[in-house]
Amino acid sequence: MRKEILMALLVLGLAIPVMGDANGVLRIDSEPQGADVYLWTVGNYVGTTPFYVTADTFPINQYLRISKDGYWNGTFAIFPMMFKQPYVKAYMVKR
Amino acid sequence: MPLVVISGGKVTYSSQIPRDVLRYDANRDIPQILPKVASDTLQHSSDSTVSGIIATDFPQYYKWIWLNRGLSGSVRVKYDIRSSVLDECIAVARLDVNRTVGTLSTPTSSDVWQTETVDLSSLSLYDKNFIALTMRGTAIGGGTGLPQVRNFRIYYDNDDIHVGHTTVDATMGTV
Repeated sequence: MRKEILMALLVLGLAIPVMGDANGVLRIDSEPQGADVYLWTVGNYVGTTPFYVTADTFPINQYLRISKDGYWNGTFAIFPMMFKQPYVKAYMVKR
Repeated sequence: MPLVVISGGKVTYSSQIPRDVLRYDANRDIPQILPKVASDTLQHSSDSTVSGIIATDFPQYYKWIWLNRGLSGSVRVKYDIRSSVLDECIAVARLDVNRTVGTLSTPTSSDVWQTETVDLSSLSLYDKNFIALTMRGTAIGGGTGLPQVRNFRIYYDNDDIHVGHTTVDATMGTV
C-alpha cells in the first residue's frame, strides 16, 4: 500500500518522503546544506544535500565522503537500519 | 637504505630520512601512536537532541560520531538521556562501538536530563570507525512519551594528531 501511495505521488510529481522503512525513502541532509556526497571507494558522485534516496537503489553499507568548501571532509555510511527513520543529517566541521 | 628502529615507543632513524617524514615530541615519542587517555578534555561532540521510539528492542542508531582518523587507548563518553514527557516512558540508551553492543544507561522515566558517563578502554579504532548511541522507550500506562538523547560527547587527552569527526543524526522529524 505504501509503495502504491509513493508511486501515485511520484506520478503526480509530488516527491515527498514516506515514513522510513526497509522499502522507504531516506532524506540525506547536512549542516550546512549544499554539501556534495560521493562514494568513498570510487569517488562517484551521489548527490548534493539535501536529497532523497531509496533503499533498493542506494549503495547501502558503503562509506560515503561528504565535502563542502570551508569544511573538513567527512565520512559516514548509510546502513539498512537507517531507513527506519526518514531523515539522516550529517554535521560538518568548519576548517 | 634508511634504518628505522621503534622500540618501547622510541624511534631512531638514520640521517638519510627527511625530518619531515617523522615528527616526534621532546621525548622522541611519535604522537600518533601514543594511546589516548580518558579525561575531561572535550574532543568530539554531537549536541543536538534526537528522539527515539517506543520499542522492545533497539531499532537503530540515532547518533553517530564517525572518526576521521584512528585512535587507540581509552576515551570517556558522556551523553544526556531523558523521557520527553514526565512519567510516560522509561528511556534507556546503549553506547556501541562499531556495532559491538556496549553499555546500557540507567533507565529513567523523568523529563529531567540525566547525564551518563562511560569510560571505554583498550580501544583500537581506525578511520571511518564510529561510536554510536541507540535508545528505546518502554511505554508506561499507555503514555506517548519518547526517549531522547543529546550532548553525545567524547573526551580524552593526547590529541596531538587531530582525529577529527563527522557526526550524524537519524530522526523522525525534520532536521
